Amino acid sequence: MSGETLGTNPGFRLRANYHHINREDEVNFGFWVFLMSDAIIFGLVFATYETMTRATAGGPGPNQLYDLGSVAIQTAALLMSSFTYGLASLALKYHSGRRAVIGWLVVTLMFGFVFLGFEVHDFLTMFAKGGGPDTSGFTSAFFSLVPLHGLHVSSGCIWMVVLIVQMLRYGIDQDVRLGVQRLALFWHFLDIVWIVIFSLVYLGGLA
Amino acid sequence: MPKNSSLGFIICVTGAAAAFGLVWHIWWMVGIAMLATAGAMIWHGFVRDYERIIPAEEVRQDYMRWLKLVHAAHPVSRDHETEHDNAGLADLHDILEAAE
Repeated sequence: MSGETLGTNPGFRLRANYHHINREDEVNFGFWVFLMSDAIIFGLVFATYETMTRATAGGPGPNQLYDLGSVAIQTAALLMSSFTYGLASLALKYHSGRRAVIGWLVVTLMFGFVFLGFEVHDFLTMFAKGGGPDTSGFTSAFFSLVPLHGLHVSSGCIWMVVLIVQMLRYGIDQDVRLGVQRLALFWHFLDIVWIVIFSLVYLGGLA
Repeated sequence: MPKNSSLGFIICVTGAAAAFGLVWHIWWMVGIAMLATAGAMIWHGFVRDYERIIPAEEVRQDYMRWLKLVHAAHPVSRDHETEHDNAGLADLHDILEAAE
């Protein structure tokens, strides 16, 4: 079996046949490894949260603290941002030019800010209702899980701004292209994690 | 191959400072260290010239120099391996004799 007959999946190409490994396979594969390790971290924090849902220690519980209307807006904003990021990826794929890619990334960024704005507002409301992280096992677990996701989204937003600046400076070179590809993986991954948070934490907590 | 980069060392130092600050509630240190960490990563993202090619001639010369050293080294037996003359080449004579 020669190198050319191997699939394009980078996982299958990491073997002694180094001539056929290009930078794209290498960095994308590495990023997948990171994402899967990140998934393990989220899995652990999810498990912790699930065991803590009843441990309110006399403090406020999900019914007093969660605002499903705000969470619905956050969910919509994040899903829309994933869609507009997809449009940015398509603009990159079909060489629609720098302006189109940057434009869709800016739209995505705006949805990301809407998400973060509502999320921070929710956290502040929870603090005001006496549901800060030091109240009970339940609130500790909540503030380990949901802001961890929010922190990821914030990092993604910073990364997006950096990529836009790189695009303005260097144009769409290979490194920018690979960056947009990897941020796409990251952004869609965060969307999936949010779906699980929405289902388990918010819907599960209020059910 | 990848060029040398100071990013790993910088994040080692700033990451340790951030963790130390978090443990002991030294918030100014946490802030500075985290900004420095993020800044170093962002700065690294702007680097475009990160690879260098080692010319075949340089590889050949290095290899030849190494072979020369091997040929020049004289074998040392187990009894003398802690002495200054030991250049890393074992004298297999005794061992082979013992094996027989």
